[in-house]
Amino acid sequence: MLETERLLLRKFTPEDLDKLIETRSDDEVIKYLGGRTLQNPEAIEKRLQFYMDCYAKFGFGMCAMIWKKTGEMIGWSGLQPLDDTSEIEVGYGMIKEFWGKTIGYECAMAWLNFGFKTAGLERIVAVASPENTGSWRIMEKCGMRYEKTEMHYGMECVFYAVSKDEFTAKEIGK
Amino acid sequence: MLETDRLILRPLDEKDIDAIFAMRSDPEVMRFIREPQNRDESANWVGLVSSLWATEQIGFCAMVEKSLGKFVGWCGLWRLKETGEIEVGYAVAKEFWGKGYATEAALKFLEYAFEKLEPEKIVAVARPKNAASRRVMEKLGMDFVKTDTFYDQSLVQYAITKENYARNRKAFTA
Repeated sequence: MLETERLLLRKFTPEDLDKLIETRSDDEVIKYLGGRTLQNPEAIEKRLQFYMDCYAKFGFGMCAMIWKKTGEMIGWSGLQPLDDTSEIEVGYGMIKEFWGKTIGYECAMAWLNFGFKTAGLERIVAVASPENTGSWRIMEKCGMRYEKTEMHYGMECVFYAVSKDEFTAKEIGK
Repeated sequence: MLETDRLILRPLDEKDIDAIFAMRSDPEVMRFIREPQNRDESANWVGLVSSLWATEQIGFCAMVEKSLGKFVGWCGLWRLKETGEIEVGYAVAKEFWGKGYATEAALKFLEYAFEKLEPEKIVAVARPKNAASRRVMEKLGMDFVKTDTFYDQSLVQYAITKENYARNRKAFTA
């Protein structure tokens, strides 16, 4: 669906299930993703179906994150509806070996660009556990602003948002 | 929304915070659950256990006595943080203890869970000394599995497989 300098973000297929489960099997990786409450094989299988349903419904959805250099799937990233709100969120996550390489930022910026310029969205949000400083620094770097703290995905989350106008204004100012 | 002979089971929301706070601040109700909570903590808990309906189809409901129109407690489904297994949980306000409400509501959630979420088994956990809760698990047809660490405390775990549930059901309706 999208390509960045180092990544390919392509739609998931049913064949990705085992690999997706594998990328979400490390306790440290899922620590801020709801732990086993959300990240267990049964729930991940349903979640994968949800991702695929999104493509037809919205024209976008959570995608597989492919490390171009090796072709390996190292995580996931994309746009999707947030819970049962009418908001669209940007999300990203990857296996530990790829932490600290600003990959999350690279994806998030690509999706914000896509969301505002191609998909015609007016606003994009992101949520993360308050302890997940890595994630909310990415949100800030992307020009998102903190709005509130509320419950999503079975945990308390910081909630960030950016409008199309704010995002494009920041781009022009560069 | 679910219904039993005596109860309406509907997702908890903000209007239940007073009733939930009344229970969660009561040391006798909370004796085997956790330290009693203040109003903010109780409100947070309501948000937490309501945050997974849209994505995971699990959460907690208010048990409302149909003929009295009264809030008698909470009951619902979650996934154990440590294992991701589906668990059923319940608590009843003091004035309604000993009337079989927890069993009645939990049985309905077993039916809902086995039908909609199709797990291999459903579990429940409790403090070892919580005889009333263990009695409910036994009445639900659950078997003792082990004592282990769940939610950072030592708890007994009970479980019922889908096969045993189907067999019990057949016996009930025969």
